[in-house]
Amino acid sequence: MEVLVLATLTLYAPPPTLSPTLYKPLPLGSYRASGWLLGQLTQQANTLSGHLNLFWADVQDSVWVGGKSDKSGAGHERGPYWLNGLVPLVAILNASKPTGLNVHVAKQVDEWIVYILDHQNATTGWLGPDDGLGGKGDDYWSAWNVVAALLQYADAKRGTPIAARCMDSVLAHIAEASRRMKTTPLKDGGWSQNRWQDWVYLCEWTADMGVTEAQRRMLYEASQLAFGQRWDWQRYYAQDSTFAHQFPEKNVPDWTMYDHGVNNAMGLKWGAVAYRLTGDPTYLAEIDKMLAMQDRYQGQPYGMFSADEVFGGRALNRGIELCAVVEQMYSLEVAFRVGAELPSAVSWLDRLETLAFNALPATISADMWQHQYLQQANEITACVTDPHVWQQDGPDSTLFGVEPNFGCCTANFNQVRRRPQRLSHCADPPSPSGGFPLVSPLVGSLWCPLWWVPSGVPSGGFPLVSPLVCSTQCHTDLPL
Amino acid sequence: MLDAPAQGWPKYAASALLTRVSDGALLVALPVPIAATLADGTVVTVDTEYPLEDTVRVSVTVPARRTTPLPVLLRVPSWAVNAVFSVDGGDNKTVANGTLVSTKCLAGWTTQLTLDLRPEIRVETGWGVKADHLSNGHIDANGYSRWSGALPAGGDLHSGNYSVLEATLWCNATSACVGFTMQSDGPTAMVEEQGEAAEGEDEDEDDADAATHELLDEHRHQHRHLHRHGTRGKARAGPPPSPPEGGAVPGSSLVYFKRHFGPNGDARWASYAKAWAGRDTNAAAVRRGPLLFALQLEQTATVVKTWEPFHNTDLSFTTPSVWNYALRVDPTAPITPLVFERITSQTNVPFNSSAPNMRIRALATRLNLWNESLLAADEPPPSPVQLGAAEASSTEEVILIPYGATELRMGAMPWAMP
Repeated sequence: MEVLVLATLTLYAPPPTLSPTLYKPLPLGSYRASGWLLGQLTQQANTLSGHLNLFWADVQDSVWVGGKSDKSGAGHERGPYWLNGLVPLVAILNASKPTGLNVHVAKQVDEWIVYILDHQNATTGWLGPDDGLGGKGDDYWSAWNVVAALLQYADAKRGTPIAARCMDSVLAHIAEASRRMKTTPLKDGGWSQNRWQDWVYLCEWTADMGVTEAQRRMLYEASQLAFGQRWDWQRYYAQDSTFAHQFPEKNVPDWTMYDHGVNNAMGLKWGAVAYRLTGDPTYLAEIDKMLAMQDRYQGQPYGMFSADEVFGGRALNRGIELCAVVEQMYSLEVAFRVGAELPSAVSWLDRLETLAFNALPATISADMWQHQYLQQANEITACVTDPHVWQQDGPDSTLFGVEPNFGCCTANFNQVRRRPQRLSHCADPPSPSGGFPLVSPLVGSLWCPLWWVPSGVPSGGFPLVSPLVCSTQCHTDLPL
Repeated sequence: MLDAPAQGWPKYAASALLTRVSDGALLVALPVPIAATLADGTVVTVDTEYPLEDTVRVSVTVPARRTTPLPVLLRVPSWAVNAVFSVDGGDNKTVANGTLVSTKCLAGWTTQLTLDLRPEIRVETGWGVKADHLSNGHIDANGYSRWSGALPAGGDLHSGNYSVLEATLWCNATSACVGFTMQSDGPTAMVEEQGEAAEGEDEDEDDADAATHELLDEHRHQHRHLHRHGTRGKARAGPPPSPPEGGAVPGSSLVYFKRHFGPNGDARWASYAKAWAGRDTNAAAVRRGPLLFALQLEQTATVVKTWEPFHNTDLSFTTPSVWNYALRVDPTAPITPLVFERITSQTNVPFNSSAPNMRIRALATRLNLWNESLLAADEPPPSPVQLGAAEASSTEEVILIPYGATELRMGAMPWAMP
């Protein structure tokens, strides 16, 4: 009799569950920005973010939407990165109804989403290109930002048929990727393995969106599978001498996957992700340990660690990449929702705010047409510089532009090693190719020229763009 | 690369307002101008231009059909030590910084919450390279700290077949030397190395040791000495030794120093660094509220590329401005010499180098010996900076603006007392 009871209990034991988040964001479509925030978001849509899909091949001609580009970095990742940011941008703009939006970003996003849904492999469920780019066990990563985009799109379009399609698509892809991970595990030392927590996070997020019991179980098992194949941030940050690699206490001279700044910024969320999966509170405590190590050995006054590709130490002329800033921000957002009851959790939001109001805008120009790859706390030039005080990033990393150094923040070893032959110094800049000298003698005069668009811009092909007109007199007329 | 950073502002905005899963409480996690309608019909409006202003006003209209009050929480940042909170224009109550302040908003009512953060200028020191990286807390009699592997500060300084004492003497007499690297068996070897090595330990040597000794014998007149006395601290492998630069110290056993330029993954190589080597950079970051303030530099932009068809540009920046200043400030009492001012700005975004909406006026002294290398500012000299008499009397006013509004800046500066 006892045996029977036990067997029954085993058979009908409730399936393992995720620990809940303590806080959750509102549905994405319910945020209405105003004031400076709406100005900032509108600006973003009107400039580089809203135009990449109109002129930059890695988005405009991405393999994700039937093109030929977007094949560099850790996979087919550039279109997905862009989409992951554009979906929430559009959702908030749609709800906020700004004046002065000049680019139809909502249409861009809708077309991307529909194309991706329409071209999902109906048999296997795999999302996007399935050409193995990244190599065996490391071609998982490419789709993760697309999954994030689809989940946000479903959130913003709650209750509509396309929202349901997005959820079905995500569930099918996770199931297929998980099937593959059973036979082809996350490649040891690969991007997908190092960023495992983002995959588990996506599984948990999908479960939070509302799924059936069978789907919930699939997501849980997919999470456990990847968790078992993970890169061990815990031992790395503990500087465990029996582990293959230890968190560095200084500048790292050579490229590694685990000392990689963006990877560490993404990895900051792992403790929250693993806590939800296992219920083990020691994982949650890892967040503060990671931040303490980053601060102590790599800390910079703008609120995070230094890293050009890999950790750069505390010297104030080293820097941090824009991609690492936004990933650290996102990790802190995720960490708070899960770990909000820890005494230090409020400080995570303080840190997030510090990054948002300092590190993020400092490395993007005011009009958001330009951004850097790498910002320095003490930055006295932003020029093509070779040799340079930073180590891994290229000579043009501190330029403000479309794709300084590298078209994305997930450069791999070979690509970051490219070194243009030309040694250009600030005192001898290349001739302005636009024929419009932007030398501004006054601090206060920079803003206007950046807005200036020649009246001869062909507008026929891009009716959504409305050039903002500013006369060259602005050079000297603006007050400080 | 703005494909990835596109998520920065939107996701920040989407984290501004959160709901607590357990009871549906509303949390204003990140004050920004934003509004939302909650599932129960509650309308929340965060009416502020923070961080351009210091006050966050939250209006919460809870529908009458909700039967219970809505708990509402606001984050009080860790720096907001003077923050006060009021409900519906009532008395200001002090609130603890680094916590969430909570209240309840009645159904059928619009509650006005006001959080006045009242930031003060803070001068935060300790930024930049830490000289105490060179100390692991175990300082030997010669004032050196032992590290496994490479020196924390980078490469080593010397090569040759020296004793620890010889190396110490050499290093102390050489201004460029902050430490040296030697090979040994383990953490305790160094201690033994400095004492008298017992005769007979040679017998424990393995073949590799003997081979190494043969190698050394080709180069080193101390070979016999090493062979007789050297044990755990003895040479094993590494680059060919260079000739010694000093006489052997009688009675000391020998170690081998390698010239070291890269990371050292071999735990048998230990590094010794002067515990007192250098000083912390200890640069100052000036903050007010959530904003870091940086030395404003005049920015000269040059177009390096124009993209078609939208004519957006890639820009480089240089500055003709002096940047090598030390702030004249007492970090423990920064208020007097630092003056915060708001500036009326016409910009539609807050982080604009040509139209900063606030600034801090400060006094500073130029440090002529602080230079640049590779078009970058060298690490600031250690603070507090010891000023010469002429420097100490030479101060000028400088302007700090929000770091986020800059393309060029000094985000952390050395400092000297006023």
